[in-house]
Amino acid sequence: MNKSFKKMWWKWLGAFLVIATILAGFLIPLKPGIQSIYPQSTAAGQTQEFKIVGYNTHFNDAENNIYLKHLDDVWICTDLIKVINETELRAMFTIPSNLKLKKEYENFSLVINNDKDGYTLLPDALKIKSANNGIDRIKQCEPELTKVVALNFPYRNQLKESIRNQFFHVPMWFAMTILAIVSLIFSIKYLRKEKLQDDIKAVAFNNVIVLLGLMGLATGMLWAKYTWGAWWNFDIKQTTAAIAVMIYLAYFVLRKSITDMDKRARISAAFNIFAFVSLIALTFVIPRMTEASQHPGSGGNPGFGREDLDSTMRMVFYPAIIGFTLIGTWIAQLIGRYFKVKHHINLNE
Amino acid sequence: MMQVWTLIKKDFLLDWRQKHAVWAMVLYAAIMIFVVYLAFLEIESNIWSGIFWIILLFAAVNAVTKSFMGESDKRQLYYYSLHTPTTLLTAKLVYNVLTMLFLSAVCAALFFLVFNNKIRNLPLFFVTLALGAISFASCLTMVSAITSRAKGNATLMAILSFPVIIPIMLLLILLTADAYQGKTFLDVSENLMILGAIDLIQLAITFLLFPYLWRD
Repeated sequence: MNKSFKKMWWKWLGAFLVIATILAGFLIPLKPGIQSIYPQSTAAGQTQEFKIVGYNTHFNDAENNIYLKHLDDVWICTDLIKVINETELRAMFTIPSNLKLKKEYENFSLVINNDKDGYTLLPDALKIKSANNGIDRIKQCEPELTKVVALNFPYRNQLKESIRNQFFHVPMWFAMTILAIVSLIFSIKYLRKEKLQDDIKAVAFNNVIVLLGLMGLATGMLWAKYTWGAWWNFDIKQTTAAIAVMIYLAYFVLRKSITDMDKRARISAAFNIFAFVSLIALTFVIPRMTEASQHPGSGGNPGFGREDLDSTMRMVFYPAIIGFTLIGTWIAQLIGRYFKVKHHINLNE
Repeated sequence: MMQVWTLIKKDFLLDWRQKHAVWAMVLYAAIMIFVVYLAFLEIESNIWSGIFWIILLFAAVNAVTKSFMGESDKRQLYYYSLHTPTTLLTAKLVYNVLTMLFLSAVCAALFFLVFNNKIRNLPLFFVTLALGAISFASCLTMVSAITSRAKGNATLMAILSFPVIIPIMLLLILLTADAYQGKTFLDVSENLMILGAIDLIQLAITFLLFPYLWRD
């Protein structure tokens, strides 16, 4: 190992991780899933044909078994399956006439077992009306569930392929927060030691923070357009994130309005530290209090981390955070060097 | 302590001798409330609290801006030779808190006059008002100090203070809407505590940073 490699291993690591994130994030396919079932309700004692649309499925390639299930008590099996193409089929179900459920209507999940794809489940796919009397535990057949080990991301009906944004949008905000702490440390260091290079570093990091913040907003808006229906929803996290970026833009406006170098460094360092409290309140406290957020993890929405982030996603997600943080640090270092050179040229003139 | 008292008295005397400035502040709030009344005529709880705090924010920025920017450079140098930064900051803070309490009381009275008093939990509203006055004063005093050091104008003051003050504003608007709907102290204790915590942290940081700003 030569010396230069030892010194810049983290740059290589950052570049590698970001490239790996882009490759893995875009190339790994989604798990097969069920898009829709129609009609969405039926009643005990009825025989009905359902139209089922899948995503990334291989209905033609292998044998399918389809079940309707309620908790683990009721399993209803198909009479007949007509495969139309790889992603569409018709399934005929006969709901037993002695099916007595706890409530008048109960939600049933749809389970499709495919020998090639493994099994997929659509929770709360349809409602079934209970019979007046009968039993509440019926197993029409023994369900066979094939487990297939494959490298893929989970399928979510609302997200579909946009789930890949998880590896770009979220790590950008994580990296921004980490770099904000780094910039804060340099500002504190400047006030203690009054060395201009600490100020230059803080400014360089703040440049990257604005960049990451704007990119985080842009990727977030893309995601919002796809899943929530509009570029800007006035979701509380969207709003607070935009304000957080505004704080850093205000920092640059403040710097531009002071001409004296040392004074500029001192005052902007003070503002950087003072604004950090608001930044923490904006990103961590306020979104948790209001209930009207559509982001996962707030307002009763499921958080990433429990079921939404499966092991394959974790494998890409955590390295992505490290990757974006390292790349951000690298950019900040380059900007810092540029400012340093510019500063020396200005002094010599 | 004596020094703090003298400084507060000096600020008060200055304002007392220029009563038109105080009346201008009150008139500003009154005109804004009147414009809002003409625009809305009838307003509901969320909008009520939002508009109330926006009007108060503008009035506050106008009122607190002058606390440092109104002083000439030479007089600031004079203070510097007489007082420690902490003394000066304490005096300015206390005076601004008093100004803000006065302003919010006037604003609330005018709001009750124009829109009728429909707030179900008045004690909670007054506690929120007091906390809001303190947090506005502490935040704006610091930003005013930064702006005056940067030789900035009112625009810079607005650019710097609005994003920083927004978390406090959001909390205050929520709390006021809660008071309007008649929620009890127990229901909102968590939000009150968060607001208090943000206030305390901001105050502590202001006291830590002000000496660095003060030196030239």
